[in-house]
Amino acid sequence: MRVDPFATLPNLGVGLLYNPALPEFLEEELDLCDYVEVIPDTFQTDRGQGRVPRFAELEQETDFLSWLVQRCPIIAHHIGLSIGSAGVFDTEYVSRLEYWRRQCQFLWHSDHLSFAQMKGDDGQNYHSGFAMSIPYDYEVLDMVASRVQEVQRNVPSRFLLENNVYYTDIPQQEMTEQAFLNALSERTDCGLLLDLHNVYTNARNHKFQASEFIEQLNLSRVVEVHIAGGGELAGMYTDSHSGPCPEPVWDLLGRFVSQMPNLRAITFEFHESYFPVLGKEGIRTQLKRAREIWKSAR
Amino acid sequence: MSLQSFQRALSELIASPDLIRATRSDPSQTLRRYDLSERERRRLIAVAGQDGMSVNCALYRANRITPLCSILPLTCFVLGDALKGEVDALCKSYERAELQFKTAIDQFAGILRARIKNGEIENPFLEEVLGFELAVSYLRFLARKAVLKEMGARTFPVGRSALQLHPCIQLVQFRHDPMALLPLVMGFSPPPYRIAKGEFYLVLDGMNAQLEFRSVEQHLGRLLQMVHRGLSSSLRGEEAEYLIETGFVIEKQS
Repeated sequence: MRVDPFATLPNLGVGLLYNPALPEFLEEELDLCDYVEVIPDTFQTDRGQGRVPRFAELEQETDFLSWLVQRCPIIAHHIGLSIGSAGVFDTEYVSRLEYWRRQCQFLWHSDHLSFAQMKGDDGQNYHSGFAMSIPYDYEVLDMVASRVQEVQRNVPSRFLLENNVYYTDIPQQEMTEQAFLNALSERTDCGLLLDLHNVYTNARNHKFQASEFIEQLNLSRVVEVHIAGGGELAGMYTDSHSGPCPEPVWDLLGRFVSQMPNLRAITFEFHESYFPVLGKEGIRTQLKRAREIWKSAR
Repeated sequence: MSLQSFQRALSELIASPDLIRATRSDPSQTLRRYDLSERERRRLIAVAGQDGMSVNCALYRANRITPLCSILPLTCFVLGDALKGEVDALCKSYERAELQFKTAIDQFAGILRARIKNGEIENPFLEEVLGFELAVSYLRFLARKAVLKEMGARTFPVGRSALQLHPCIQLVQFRHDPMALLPLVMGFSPPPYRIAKGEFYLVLDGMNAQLEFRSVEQHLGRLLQMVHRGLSSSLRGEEAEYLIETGFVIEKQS
């Protein structure tokens, strides 16, 4: 009998993705969050591959992180792994993830199923400036699966991958996104971070039913859900994290939350520049609504 | 190599609307430089033709502007409509995106300072606002506690030695009264401003968790400027002692 890879993960509840606008809110109202999700990349500077020392912690940020770690459970969400980059896999960065695990004792960690790092003609890695979707082909599945296993060997904490948002559609892919995610999770035991706003954004822009997309996912692999808001840009709807969650995303959460037996956390994310738009009351409202849905499924 | 080339081509398309247009009009010629399979070539041509490419390009550009607006918001404000052209200059000079905020702002500041020096930008407030924000960001990224701990463990040299600004101190020279200029800029009040001109100095003190700004009188400002420029050997003994007493200056470790 196969062991459920997610059975030992704690049930957290509802939380926030940390951003630099949040310290005051969290100092005042941390009890509204069952946990806080942090992006370790934003707590350090990265001088680039091969530099010694490569990483330097940002003092103010890590001071606040230490404060948080003493008060609530932490999970981590990375933005620098670029797990889908062909020809580039940054093992120094992977080692750094383990450093952060020890620092903040995150209960699990995640990154995006996308690519952003490139290798230049000079052999140096560089950032493309924009995270892009990978083609859902078997060749790419093999590459990403081996990297997930590399992460799991180096960081003894459950690893999740997040479904991507995309504004252009790569034709003639060998698998659907759902089939790719299911196969990757099955092969590597990585969990899924289901970003419902990404699904909603893709569905709206590429004219498909978000609910049908979700139904085709193996929902027993979903450990965490992200919810967020977005806005219009150049004739499309974007995942800009620019405010409250739209109603269709709440509907998706309400409909599917009970179908995710291993769901451990629902995270609301927004960009710090929209804090004045949301306000503290706006954040409270989002957390409260997410909590009602979380409780309804327990 | 093929998948790597595909990803590189896609990322270069997103960074360059010109390349997208070229791919749309003459894909064979434009994509020749990449080592692509026939399927990847067809994929790129299809992607280049999609409406979503304009969103990708806009988001790419937003990602390049984000560090500038986050760390240098007042500079961006003072640039006003000229910001777009300066970002174009940044993208032209540094084709590769730099998402490390500190590096990105150093690149941008270098471009602005060169263009100010060459007379290519005429903006009466830009240089001093930029200098102010660079000083703030220097202190923002400084490992303050580690620096102060190191300072505490220092052994001071015997006898007279060269001086330097304390690592937690930054000095910014203004041509306009900073106590009048900065509130206007920080309040995003659009220029023109009627502000007294002259020689003004602002000390940014990052020794405590909360950054402090102190306007200092011209004589002290000039002395600090000499230290900052490595000319402390020209100071008289009593001037050096006075500067050390202010706490803004320390003796250099031999």
